Amino acid sequence: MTSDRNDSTGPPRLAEVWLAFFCAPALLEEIQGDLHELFDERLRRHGRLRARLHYWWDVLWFFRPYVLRRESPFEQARGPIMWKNYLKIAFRSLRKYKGTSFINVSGLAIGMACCLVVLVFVRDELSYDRYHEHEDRLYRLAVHAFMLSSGEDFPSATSPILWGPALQRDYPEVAAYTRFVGLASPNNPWTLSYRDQEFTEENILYADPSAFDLFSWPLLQGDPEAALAEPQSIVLTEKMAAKYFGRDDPLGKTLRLDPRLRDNDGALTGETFDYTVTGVLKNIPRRSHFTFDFLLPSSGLNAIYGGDINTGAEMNNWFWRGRIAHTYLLLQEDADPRAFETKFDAFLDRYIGEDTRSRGYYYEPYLQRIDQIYLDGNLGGQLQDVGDVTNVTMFSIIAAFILLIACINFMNLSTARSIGRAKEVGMRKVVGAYRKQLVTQFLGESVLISLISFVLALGLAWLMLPLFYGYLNKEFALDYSQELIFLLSLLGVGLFVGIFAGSYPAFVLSRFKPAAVLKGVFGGRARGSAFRKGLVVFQFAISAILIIATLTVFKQLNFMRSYELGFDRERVLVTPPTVARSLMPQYEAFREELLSNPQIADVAAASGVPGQGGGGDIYVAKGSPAEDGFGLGEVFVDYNYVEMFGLNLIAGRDFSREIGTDAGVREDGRFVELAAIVNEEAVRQFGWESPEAALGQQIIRDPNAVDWTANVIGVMEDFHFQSLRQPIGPVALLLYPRYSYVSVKFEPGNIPEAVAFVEEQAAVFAPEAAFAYSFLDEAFAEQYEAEERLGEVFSYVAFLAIFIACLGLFGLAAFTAERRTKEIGVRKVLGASLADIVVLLSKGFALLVLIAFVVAAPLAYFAVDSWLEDFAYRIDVGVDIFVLAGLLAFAIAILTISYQAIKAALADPVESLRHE
Amino acid sequence: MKGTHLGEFEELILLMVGVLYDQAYGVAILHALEEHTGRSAKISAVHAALHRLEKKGYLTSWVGGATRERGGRRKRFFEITHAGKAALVERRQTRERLWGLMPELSLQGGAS
Repeated sequence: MTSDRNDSTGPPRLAEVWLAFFCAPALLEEIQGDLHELFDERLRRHGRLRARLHYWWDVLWFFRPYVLRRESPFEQARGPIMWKNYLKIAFRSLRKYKGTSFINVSGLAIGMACCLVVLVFVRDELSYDRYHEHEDRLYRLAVHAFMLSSGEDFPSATSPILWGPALQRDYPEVAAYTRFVGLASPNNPWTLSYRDQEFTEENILYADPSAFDLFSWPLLQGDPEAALAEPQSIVLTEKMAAKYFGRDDPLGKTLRLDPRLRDNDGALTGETFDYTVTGVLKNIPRRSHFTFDFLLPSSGLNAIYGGDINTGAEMNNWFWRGRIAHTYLLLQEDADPRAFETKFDAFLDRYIGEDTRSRGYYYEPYLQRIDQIYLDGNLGGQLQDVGDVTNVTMFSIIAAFILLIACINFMNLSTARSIGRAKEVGMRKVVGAYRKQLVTQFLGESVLISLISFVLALGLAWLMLPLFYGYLNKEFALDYSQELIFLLSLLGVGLFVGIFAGSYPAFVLSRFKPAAVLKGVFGGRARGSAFRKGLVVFQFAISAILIIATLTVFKQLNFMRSYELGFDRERVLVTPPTVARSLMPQYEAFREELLSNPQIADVAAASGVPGQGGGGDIYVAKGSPAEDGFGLGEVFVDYNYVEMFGLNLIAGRDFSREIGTDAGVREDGRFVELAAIVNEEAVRQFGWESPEAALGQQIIRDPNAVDWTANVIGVMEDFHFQSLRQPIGPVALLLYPRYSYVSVKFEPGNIPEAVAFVEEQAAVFAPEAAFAYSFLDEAFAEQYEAEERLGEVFSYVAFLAIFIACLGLFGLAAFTAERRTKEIGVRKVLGASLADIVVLLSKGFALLVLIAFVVAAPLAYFAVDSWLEDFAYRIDVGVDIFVLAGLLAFAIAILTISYQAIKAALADPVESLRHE
Repeated sequence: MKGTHLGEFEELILLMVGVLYDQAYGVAILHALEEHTGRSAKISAVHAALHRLEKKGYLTSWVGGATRERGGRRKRFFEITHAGKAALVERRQTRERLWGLMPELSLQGGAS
């Protein structure tokens, strides 16, 4: 190059390098010569800057097809023959180094399988609600509900039913609205019948007739304009049509709906309704944030709510603030949703005013675009479970890391093994191989290995997917025929890994100098091994983080499970509302019958059981202003609730049948006065000085309506009425017969027999209800299902990560031992013991694992600490976890290495030394 | 094979190679072109034209000795081949024949 000048006066260096890169060697000299001559001329005439710019300009223009470097005809002709040779050599070396090949292929296959599973999952999660024609301007109206007392935000998917029509009336931005109201639920399913066939259904929604304009749900039969117009019409999905009518034409058929519930006296109140089928919907796509089986016209709600749900005429003010509907808005094409959101404040002022603030909360409505709802947070009141964006990111990151660990194995082992192939490289170079050809050869080999792994990974992923979805509690359905393009793009993962992981070994191998290699001398070994060491540290750091995360999740889980909840939950059977409500009319007789069995310790009825939360209302202490009211959890209980669940009273007394005033005071069949036991938190919030001071106080439910007054007769210790994720709130037990659950406490002994007895009696007293039950401690454990699943996923992932990392370490240790065979032989001859040699071979790796752990610890600390912040009752990230994780990682690594070290140390020195 | 058609720019370059005789190489041709026709071209365009002309067989080239300027790099010199001369002559004859065929009128009138 230009040796006769320095950089500052010469042509731009980068341009020169680039020209030399792309220009065919035969043309380079004349082109460069001409360019330099022109450059010198311009330098003299126009100065340096213009000359340099002009030089760049000229170089750019030389980028023409005829100038470009290409393979010589000789190289082109040789291609196919050499490829055959490369392939043969690739398979030979795969077979020759069986151990390394196995580690490479299995590690890569596991890594890729994880990646594939997560890709399928992520794609699935990201493709919800993508089928609506108006998806770019269809929004759900969601609401932030802020508590004035604590400032807490309870975002909710539901909104008041009167907002939709009012928004459309008041704001031109709203083109249309539609509301869905679900009155049936799993706890309260409805009975639908056609002739003598009867089914219970819960996926029934009331919908506005505009639903079919907003949502792209095609009707197979019926007229979308008219399907929901008539009050007694019903639209069902094709699946339901087949269930009820078989092959008959469903249109015009009549379904009888029985939404009746038994009240406490066992009487069925209300009436049944006949609905005429006016439309059959194509099944709602699985990837929707909610699905349903039946739609009823919203006009049917007018009678239920006693007013006009469109105009609000004759409706109680509550319908302006009670969140009972799911409202969807179709905005005009030119409307800006963010600008529209700013108008909600004025809207609320107009229709609600101080009505919510006086009750201790206020609303902040916002809009969620339909295609984003699924991953936009788990709001309260969803029609169906939605996805979790943290899962999506977390799994993506983890899968990428596992794949990275596997790729690192591949790089490490291939470079380490390269010594074995150095002679091949030397020979190839001697007989005339270009470096580019060698790079191609080795890249090709790694792509081959990665494709083999990819095929294995496809099989593994196919096995893992149902498991993975099982953990997520999500239905898995992958229609391969629909996913062809996606599957092809997965192949891209395979190719990418091959090229990515193969590039480093390929460049290292092809750099060997033939003369040195054939003489048996290797250059640059130190640098290569430093790189390898760095990679090992990285691998083990990731593994250590995953181990720490796993241990933390399990520790927190254990903590929550064994946490002293303040109530007794052993051997308590709970019947769900379906059974309990049927039992209520004859509850006392049922209770007597059960107690006659010595295996049964106690029976209690209540509106809720501890640990699972429940309802509540606004209460205020008598004599305080209405605005001091706050949300108090309510449990409607029986006399023996406190005793049964072992709640501790710290002041006052338990409810008693002997004391007449506990039964309460009724007026016109309505309770106006009740007895209550409150918890310590409630005492604090009401502002009473001590538990003793609370006794005899009166509290009023809903200060505006004054539903009833409760007399505080006792104070109990705080207990976790809700999940541990929430702090303990103020709760009152009220002696009030509105029960949904019957709890039965067993004596220790033959539990299955006792359960059978309860079932028998339930069948006698409530023959029409299908018996169902759960055990309180099991139901309680189920609350932590999400954490449990997370813990399990983490433990598998951590296992995989450390397994792959150890595979790599195993391979590296084998390689080191092999390379130092002679050294070990000499050392043994000179008297080194077995232990000396094992230490000699292990200490390097052990140090790497230690460094990895030091790197991982702070990162892991921040990760798990931020996860734990979600829990009101949480463990501290203790030293114990780190020590345990460190020891674990270290022990696993040492075990892996020592196998190779001991093998090498036991080898006969005669074998290793006699070849010299 | 490529056609033997001679483009307008190619014809000019071919003529320049003839004009420069034994000093015809990239930069020299570029300068001559500018000097004699007032046309400024990019060096890459000149190279491309030379490359094409050589392929068509109108030019032949050889590499000269090392130079003191341009960092010691050698120059590639061009020379018109027999086929090149024939092509230039033919082009010239065609032109003259056409000139001869043109009536006086159209020359005097001037269309512009």
